[in-house]
Amino acid sequence: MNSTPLDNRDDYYIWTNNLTKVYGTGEKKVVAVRGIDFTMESGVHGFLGPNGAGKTSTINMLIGAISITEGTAYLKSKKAGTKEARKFIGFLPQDPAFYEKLSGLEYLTYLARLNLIPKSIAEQKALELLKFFDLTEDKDRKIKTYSMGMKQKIGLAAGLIHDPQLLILDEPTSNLDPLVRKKIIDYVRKISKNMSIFVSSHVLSEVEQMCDKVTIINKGRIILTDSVQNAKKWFSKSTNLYVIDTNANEVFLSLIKGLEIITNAWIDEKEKSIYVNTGDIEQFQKEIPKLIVEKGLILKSFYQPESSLQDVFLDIIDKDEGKRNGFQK
Amino acid sequence: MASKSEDTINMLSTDFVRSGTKGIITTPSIILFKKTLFKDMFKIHKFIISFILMILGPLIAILMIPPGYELYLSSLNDYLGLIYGFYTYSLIFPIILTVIGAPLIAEEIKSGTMLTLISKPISRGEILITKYLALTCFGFFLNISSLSLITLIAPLKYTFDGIAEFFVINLLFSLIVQFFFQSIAFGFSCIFKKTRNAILVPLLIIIITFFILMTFRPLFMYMYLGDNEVPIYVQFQLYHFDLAYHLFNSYIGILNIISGGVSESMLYFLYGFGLYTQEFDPDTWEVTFTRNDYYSPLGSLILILTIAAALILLGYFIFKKRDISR
Repeated sequence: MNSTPLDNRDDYYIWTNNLTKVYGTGEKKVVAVRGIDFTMESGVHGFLGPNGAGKTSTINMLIGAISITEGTAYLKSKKAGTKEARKFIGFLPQDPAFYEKLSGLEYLTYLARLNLIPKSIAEQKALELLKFFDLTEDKDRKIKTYSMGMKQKIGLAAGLIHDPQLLILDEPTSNLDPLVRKKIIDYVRKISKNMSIFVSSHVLSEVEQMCDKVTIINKGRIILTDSVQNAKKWFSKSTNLYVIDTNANEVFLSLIKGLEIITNAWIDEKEKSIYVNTGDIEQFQKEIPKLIVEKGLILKSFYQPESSLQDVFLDIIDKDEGKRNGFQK
Repeated sequence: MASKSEDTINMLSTDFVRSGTKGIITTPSIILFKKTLFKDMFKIHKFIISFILMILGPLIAILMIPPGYELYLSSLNDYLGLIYGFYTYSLIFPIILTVIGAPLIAEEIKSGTMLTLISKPISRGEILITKYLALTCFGFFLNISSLSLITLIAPLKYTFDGIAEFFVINLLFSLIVQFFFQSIAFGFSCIFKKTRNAILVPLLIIIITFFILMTFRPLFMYMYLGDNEVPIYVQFQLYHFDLAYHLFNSYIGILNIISGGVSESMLYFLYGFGLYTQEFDPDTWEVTFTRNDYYSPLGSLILILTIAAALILLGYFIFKKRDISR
């Protein structure tokens, strides 16, 4: 997990230190975010967690929509929630609301003007974004007549209208059908070539598709911040999972099942390979190839599988909630 | 090779940098002000309905004067003061200000658009001031246009005296009414999360002040409890809480400054607001009015302005601290 060095917060798009949000007081007190420290550099950074993990509360603190109970947050060295910080961020809230009586063009032009873009180019920029999101034909229609997918595209365009350095997206694909969801992901990937994006989601596959780095949050605590690749590797290592394929898997499985170094072993019905969990990697790596040779079997493959982010996420959440023994953050 | 869409996005960034210095840069407050005033408030049907309601009562009163008839009251303010003071400025104008002003903040919070707005480079204080100023402009324009029309139409129907006096008295009084009711509506708009409550509370204040109290005030002013010789209104010092009393006490202050005093016909009107006690002599059939100066006109004005300012400040602090989310 990343630490948040106090002396170089200017280098980060997002920098938080002990960021805490408590709603209510007394018996009604709910701690939504528990003193989180994390940083975001350039690129696309996923903010992953189940519903109620504290993602939206964190984002709302970053944009200044809700007060920070304790701790600090900076966006590119500007204190979160200040006018200065908001100048260079674009934001798409979860389930965004619009001035429904305005047309798509009017709405984007209005937001451009709010972002200090001169009138002479505000409309031009709005038209360009409408074109980018394939909404040119609907530019003069009132937003209230737009479909959910069109509204989400207008919301994304609204976040982009002033060319922000950092785009913050809170669950950009929630409540969308799979087709529109895919389109939005494609748009995010295209946009990410020009700016850094912080995107929250509880849909793991999407984060995997969109992001370079990921921060996993659960019950208001940061559990992991790392690159998506490292997160997957970390999972493989933490579970000590290996895949073995020989010319006689069923025979080999019966041979290794009783060994002390093996905690669990099974044949995957789909891949027809042996999956093994070990408690002692070093010994495992020595013993297994030796055993194969001794028994005259042919070793076809022997490797640590790459997990999907889904596996990482579920495993981490599972461990965090204490359902498995021996887990340490 | 970059796709067409990628080119578009790349072009956006460059264009902004290149042409960003050319145009006239304004402030987000001005943009929000224009949007609130012209897109949200000055909708043609909304303005026309408000305008018609504002002039309806006075216009009917003017049109009802039979041709060639000589009025007992030749001063325009004596003739229209009652209807303007009660119908326009006690009911219609406060109701319009409430209906237009109360949703300004509450509705944006409820619908979720406030979340988008506060993510822009504009502070919450600026949002409040801007929207309040827009409401002020709307109210002022609506009032001055309707008052001007009545002031222009009235002399066409009858040769009234004191046309300018009527205009100035009612304009000054309307400014007090506007400041008070728009501040109440706006304050509650910041305090309540639901638009319905933000509208209902100021409307209740208007109904209690100008309907319920108008009905019961004369009773309280002449009813005694037991052997007590002081009427209920005075015994329990109800005048402290009587908004209509304070508003029309300020009106007397304006009349004193502009007209040099209160005319006889106005006494009958102001009596209804607790500012005078009426005594009827059954022998001579004469009615005498005694001024109830529990407060000086300036005292009432200060009280009204203080309540309005306090509500705005309370709303400001609540809105500034409020967590805004969907």
